[in-house]
Amino acid sequence: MLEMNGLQKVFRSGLVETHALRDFSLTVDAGEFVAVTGPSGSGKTTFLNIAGLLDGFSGGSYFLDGYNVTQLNDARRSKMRNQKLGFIFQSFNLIADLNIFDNVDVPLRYRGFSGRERKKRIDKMLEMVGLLGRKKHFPGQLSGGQQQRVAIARALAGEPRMILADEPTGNLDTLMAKQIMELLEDVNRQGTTVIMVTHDPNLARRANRHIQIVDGQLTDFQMYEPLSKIQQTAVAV
Amino acid sequence: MLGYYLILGWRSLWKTPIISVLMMLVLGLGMSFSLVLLTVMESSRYNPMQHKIDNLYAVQLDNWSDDPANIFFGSKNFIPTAISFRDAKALLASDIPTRATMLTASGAMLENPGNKEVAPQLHSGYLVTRDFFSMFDVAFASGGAWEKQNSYNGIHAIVLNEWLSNTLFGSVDSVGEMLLVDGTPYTVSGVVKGDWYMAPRVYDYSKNPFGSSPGFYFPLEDIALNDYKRWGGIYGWKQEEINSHQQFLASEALWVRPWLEFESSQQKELFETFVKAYVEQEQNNGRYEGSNKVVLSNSTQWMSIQEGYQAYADYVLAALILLICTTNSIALLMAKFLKTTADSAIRRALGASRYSIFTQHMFEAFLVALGGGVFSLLISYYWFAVINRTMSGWDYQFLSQFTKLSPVSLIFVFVLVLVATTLSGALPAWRVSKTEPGRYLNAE
Ligand SMILES: Nc1ncnc2c1ncn2[C@@H]1O[C@H](COP(=O)(O)OP(=O)(O)OP(=O)(O)O)[C@@H](O)[C@H]1O
Ligand SMILES: [Mg+2]
Repeated sequence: MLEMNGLQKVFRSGLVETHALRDFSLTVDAGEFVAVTGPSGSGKTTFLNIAGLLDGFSGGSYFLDGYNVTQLNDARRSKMRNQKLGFIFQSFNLIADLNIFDNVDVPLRYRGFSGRERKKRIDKMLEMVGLLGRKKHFPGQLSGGQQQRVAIARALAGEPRMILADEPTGNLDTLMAKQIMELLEDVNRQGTTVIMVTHDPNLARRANRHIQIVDGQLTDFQMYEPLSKIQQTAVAV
Repeated sequence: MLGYYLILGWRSLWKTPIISVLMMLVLGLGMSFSLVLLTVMESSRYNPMQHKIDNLYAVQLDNWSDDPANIFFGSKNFIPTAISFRDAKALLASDIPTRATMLTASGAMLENPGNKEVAPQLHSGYLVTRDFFSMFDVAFASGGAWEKQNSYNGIHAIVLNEWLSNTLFGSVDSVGEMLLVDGTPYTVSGVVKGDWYMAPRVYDYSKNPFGSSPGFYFPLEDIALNDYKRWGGIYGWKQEEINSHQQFLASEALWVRPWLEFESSQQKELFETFVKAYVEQEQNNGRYEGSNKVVLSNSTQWMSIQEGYQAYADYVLAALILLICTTNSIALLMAKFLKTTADSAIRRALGASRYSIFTQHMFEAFLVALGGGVFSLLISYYWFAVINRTMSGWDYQFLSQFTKLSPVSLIFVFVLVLVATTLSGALPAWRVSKTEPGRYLNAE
């Protein structure tokens, strides 16, 4: 699904150069649920932005769903974002001037679906996240958890192959965080790849793979084996 | 998709209704103001003597100082637009042109001695020579030009405009009647039709060329006897002692406007040669220190020469207003668009290409343009109505003939506003479409 090799990302602001990613390599298979953790400023968001084609990179290669990203122009990238990717952000990023229905409508508009098809999909998604009754409401009239559910509905409306979530529960309380997590797990069970950045080790633990980014580089944890087994080995030594 | 952009643009404008309306209003005001200005300028460029374009010529002689510090109208390209009386006499004496007239704006106290009920009154008119009437197609209600006589001993004939004839003599035909011009008896030889007019009066720009028709015309030759008023422009450069009217007539003061009529270009060239020879002869007599340049201009060229002296101030003004308007709308649109950069970033993440973000904002600019266009039409209509009402007074009656908003110029303005504003939205739209979405999406 996603294959990064020796990625470099350098931010230049004035005289300061920040190496946000250095020699970053990662492969994610279709259907995986990957949790990304790491200290603040380590490059997690940078990684997600590049993975989501929202940002370029300075060196290395990136293949998304078999396409060499560097060779795609803006229109093709935008199309890939629209058809294959779904984004969920910590700050929800709903468009304040649009009601819930119209927010979920946005990616479908760029997709070029007919009005009837759009309405069908929007209603289905809002029903799934339990907010169909609120479709005329504006984001400001909803709680944080509800807003994030709208954002998820929006991300899923186009039936993407991969969800990129940047601390989706960062602004939510534990109960709401749990609901969101369950939603994402549901989506993943239906075959959608999920990459989720989180600060919450409990959430990270629920993913079937946990990677850590430290100082722009990857440290791979395999979480398939139970934690206790590793601890046992350590004790045995 | 285009419908979607229209809806988004409409919503975005509706979100800040006052700013949106203000933006459109400023645009509308500016555009309609330049439209009015341009229309008036256009009408001033209308040449009423177009049908004689190859026949009528004004002549310019370089009778100006050779002092580099004293240049006519501040440009070496300009030579005087009037000639001296003595040169006018010399040109009139030539048989080469089919017709020739020498003229200047004037004015006089007119009095009908046979009707004491009408008080003597001051009117503005023109000193002309008799060919003037046929050269410039003056339409007579009765009578005509005075008899031909090469005389500087007093022709004492006058042509009245119909309204002036009515004022002085009532509704009777005044041809053959006598009246006093500054106290001197003159006989009316013709009455010009009241509805005959020429605007602009190409033959003389020195005195309100768009004003109403002159009240009367009388022989320039008669100025040899009487110091009649000269209300046209007088140019002078030479320090001369002038103590009498006769000294003035013999001086280098430049105030007569000479026009010639030719039937062929050979005739014109012949005349040019004649004038050149005359100027060279005068140079031998110690006159003409400028040059021996002789410039013959047809009526259209003459109009543009006259405009040249106005230094294109009107065009600059119109362009400035347009510039201010578009700059204003660029600034307001820029501010408005940049405020929604975060929304655009979200749209980018959800699959909008740069191009579609750009297009979306162009549609918003287009809506502003549409509003501005509608405003400019409304305001223009109003302004033209005001102008026409204001100028329906007697002095501007001819200008008002041209200041009617034609459907063609309406459409022209509408398209102009549309294109200009939509284009002015391009820069802000491009800026917004260019921003990298990443940095806006994770800001807390
Ligand atoms: N647009 C930018 N310009 C300059 N530097 C940037 C930019 N974006 C990120 N950086 C820098 O790149 C590094 C990685 O940033 P990034 O946002 O990826 O970290 P993060 O792991 O997401 O942190 P957090 O957990 O706080 O969200 C940081 O040092 C940051 O300051
Ligand atoms: Mg981050």
